[in-house]
Amino acid sequence: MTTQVSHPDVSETHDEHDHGDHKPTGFLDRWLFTTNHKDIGTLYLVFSLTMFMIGGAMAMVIRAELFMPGLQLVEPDFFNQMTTMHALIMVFGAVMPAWVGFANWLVPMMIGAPDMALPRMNNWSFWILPFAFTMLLSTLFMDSGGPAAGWTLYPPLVLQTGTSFAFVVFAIHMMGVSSIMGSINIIATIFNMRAPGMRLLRMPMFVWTWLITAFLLIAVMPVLAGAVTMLLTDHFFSTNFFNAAGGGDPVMFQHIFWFFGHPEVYIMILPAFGVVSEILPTFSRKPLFGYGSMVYATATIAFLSFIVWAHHMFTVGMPLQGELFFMYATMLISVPTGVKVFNWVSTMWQGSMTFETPMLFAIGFVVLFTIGGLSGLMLAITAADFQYHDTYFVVAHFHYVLVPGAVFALMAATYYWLPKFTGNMYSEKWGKIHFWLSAIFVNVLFFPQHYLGLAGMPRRIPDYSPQFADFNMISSIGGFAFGLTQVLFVGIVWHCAYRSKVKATPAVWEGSRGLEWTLDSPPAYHSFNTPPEVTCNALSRAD
Amino acid sequence: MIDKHEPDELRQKRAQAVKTALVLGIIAAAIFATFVGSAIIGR
Repeated sequence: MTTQVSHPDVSETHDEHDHGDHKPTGFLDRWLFTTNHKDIGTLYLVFSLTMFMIGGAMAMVIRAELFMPGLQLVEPDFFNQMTTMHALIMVFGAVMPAWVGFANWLVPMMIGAPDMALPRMNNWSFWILPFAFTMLLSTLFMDSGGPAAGWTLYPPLVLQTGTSFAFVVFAIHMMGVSSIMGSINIIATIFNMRAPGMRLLRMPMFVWTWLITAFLLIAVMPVLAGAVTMLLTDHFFSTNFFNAAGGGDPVMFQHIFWFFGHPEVYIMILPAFGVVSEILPTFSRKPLFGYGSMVYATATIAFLSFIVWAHHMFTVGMPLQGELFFMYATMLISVPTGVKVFNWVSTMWQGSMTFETPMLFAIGFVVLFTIGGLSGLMLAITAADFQYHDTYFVVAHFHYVLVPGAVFALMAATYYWLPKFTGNMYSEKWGKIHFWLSAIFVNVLFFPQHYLGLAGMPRRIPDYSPQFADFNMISSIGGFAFGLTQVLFVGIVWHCAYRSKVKATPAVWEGSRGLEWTLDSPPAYHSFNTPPEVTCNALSRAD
Repeated sequence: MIDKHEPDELRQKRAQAVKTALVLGIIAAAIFATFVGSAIIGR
């Protein structure tokens, strides 16, 4: 099938159309007041990387304290503040903004749009975030300390947070507003700004997964906002939504929280599915196997994510029928997820594969995310969950989903599109070193935690029985090494952006397909001012 | 603000996008109100 696309921004004709590269010259105009999707995408990605470093530093504090039994470095309450803040920062400050950053850069270019549909709202969505996280982090320096009840903010424990709790709730509201505005923008862009011929079932999988993710965000972020608002009024205005002493029900909070919390997991992982579905075909030099089934599997996972929330709270004492329903509904998710994994494997099957850094991270994702998926299946078994609940087995499970899952996909996406964003190639040698060190140490870090959990070590504690010492020491060594390895990642990205002398071609990769690869590397500041005509499936994965 | 250099076709797309955004915003607000409202009524 031949590629049939015509637009004035492709590299061959670009010299005649340099009007697309007019950037604002002043620093504030360029970055503070920007409405350009590429600049806002860069802001999101830089912000996310900063938050990764801050959240990672907190993880190092946690692993240093857990290096050996006993209390060595920090007070127990500060330890609990670290676990809580680490999670809040990694979920809301690192992973989610990173995906929004990639969406900002890529969605308009992938669908042939000149920019996001609502560029000023896009600017607002981003610039709320630094204020939200400054406010959240500032609670660590307040007299009452930061939140220490875990990222799930369960009452009644969280209601013991001092006056800083108001700042935490306001910060969460601002993060929610930012996410909702970002999601609305992405949906409005995909629905209204697609180039002629870019039918829904011709869209790249990254666009599809983000469209579904955006709907999930709009559906569940208001639920979190409602839950924390009720916590706020319980804390400061003497309501009793969740206060048992006043007739309230703390378990109701858990239901409301996890109605948000479980889809939130998929908010972080669906764009990762999209990225892997872009990268594997490129380096296998084959179309994505089962494009349509991938789209429907993504939508099915999103739907099922709304009806499985109570598997996080099997131990609260639900009716048996409820527990069985949530157990089977949870297990059902493995069907569309299995469709995806088998399609990725089938995409690689008999492909002409090469193993550049994005491909290594994508394959690492498929293998290691599957380990997290299988331990999730174990946790879904109600009877077994009574043993696993609140142990390090759960910690191991969700870190396998989120670190070699979502974070590896973010690394893969960075290496895959960074040459497009910067116009320079990164160092393949250092990229591969980064991958192998990450892949080894992420397992040293998290795999022993399965055994700790099965042996009964509870989560969110700064001290533990000496019987858990060996595996904790191994896990901490893996943690320090994994953390140091990510400093290497920052160096590779910085070198690619500012020092690399190897220029990227427009297509960058031999097997790349899609509208973004028809633009120069880096693309002009304003691309696709005239929409391209997409007249066949050759630029999409849908063939 | 209206960009006078923006092609008509693009302006129409953005106008339609604003409508989409309004509908989605109302849905988000309604979900928030439903959860808080049902908690209040349930109490």
